[in-house]
Amino acid sequence: MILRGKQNIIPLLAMTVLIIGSISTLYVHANQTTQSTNLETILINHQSFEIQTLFERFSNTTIETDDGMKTGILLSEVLLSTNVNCPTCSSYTIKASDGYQQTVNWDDIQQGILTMEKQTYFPHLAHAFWVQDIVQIEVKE
Amino acid sequence: MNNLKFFAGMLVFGSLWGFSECIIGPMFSNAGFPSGMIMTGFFALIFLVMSRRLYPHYGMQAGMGLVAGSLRMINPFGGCHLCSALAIMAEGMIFEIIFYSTTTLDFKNLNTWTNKIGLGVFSAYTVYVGGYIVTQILTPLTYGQFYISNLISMMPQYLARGLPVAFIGALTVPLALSVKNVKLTLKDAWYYPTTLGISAFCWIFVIANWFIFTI
Repeated sequence: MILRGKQNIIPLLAMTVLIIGSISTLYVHANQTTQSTNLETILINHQSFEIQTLFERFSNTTIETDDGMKTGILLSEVLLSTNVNCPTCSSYTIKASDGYQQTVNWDDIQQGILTMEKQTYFPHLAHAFWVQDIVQIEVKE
Repeated sequence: MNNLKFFAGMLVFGSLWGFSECIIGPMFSNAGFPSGMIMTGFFALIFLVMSRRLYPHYGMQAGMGLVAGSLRMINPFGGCHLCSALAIMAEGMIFEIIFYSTTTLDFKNLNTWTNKIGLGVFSAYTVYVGGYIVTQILTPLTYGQFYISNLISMMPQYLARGLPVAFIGALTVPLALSVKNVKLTLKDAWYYPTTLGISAFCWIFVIANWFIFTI
């Protein structure tokens, strides 16, 4: 239905989105300043790891993506070292410092790598799954 | 205006939109600018509003989104092409719904600057945030891995990112609505070669760009 003569609703709609956007911006900034994230560690399956330690422990692998060659350690090796009870029947939620998160399964984990810059690459998945600045990998069984 | 002219117009404006997303967007991104916000707040809204003024028919902008999204889909540069393509298609659809619900085809109900700016703020914010949310649902769904908790965790971020776009839209939409005498006066003998020529240029340029950088 065309809202003929109802143009007065337009300023109201504009004000509504401005309020929503402003409150969300304040919330995001407040949340970021109160977060106490250690930039050098990642929490994987409830265990804290220094990124440098992970790279000393596991060997580097290079994979080909549509964004070029990427080098890192295999996510599957890292996760198996944390004693995941049932790798194939678990899901893995990868969380970034800004709250962004994506969930993948074991088939995806087997093809993914974690880089020194704390970014995941999955050559077979959309870039939306390439999480940057990772702070946690949660295992849900 | 007959259907053939309408579809040719949809093709040319959709191609121009897609071309800007594929070629100009990555330039902004490489220069360190927030390309998504600029592309939606400025380029997309200019193309969408101007096309609605030139072709006062419902469905035009939804179709443009499909054309632009298809062009973006074949261009694997500048981040996630599937995510971007889905976002563009959603943006065209959302714009269509907003303008269908709040304006008449001749825009005569937008007679005050308050309404023009208000429509700019609301449409820019909703188109950008809506496109973002739709792609965050559809992209994981494409891979069978959509989890509502992942979407909810980022919702404040998505809602916050729309704010700068709303301010860009507050300038872009009134500007596009204020341009006087927007009429297409090309005769048929020129109209079809021109529209199809511009569309072909956009598609060939994007495809050639892909070949040059991958071979």
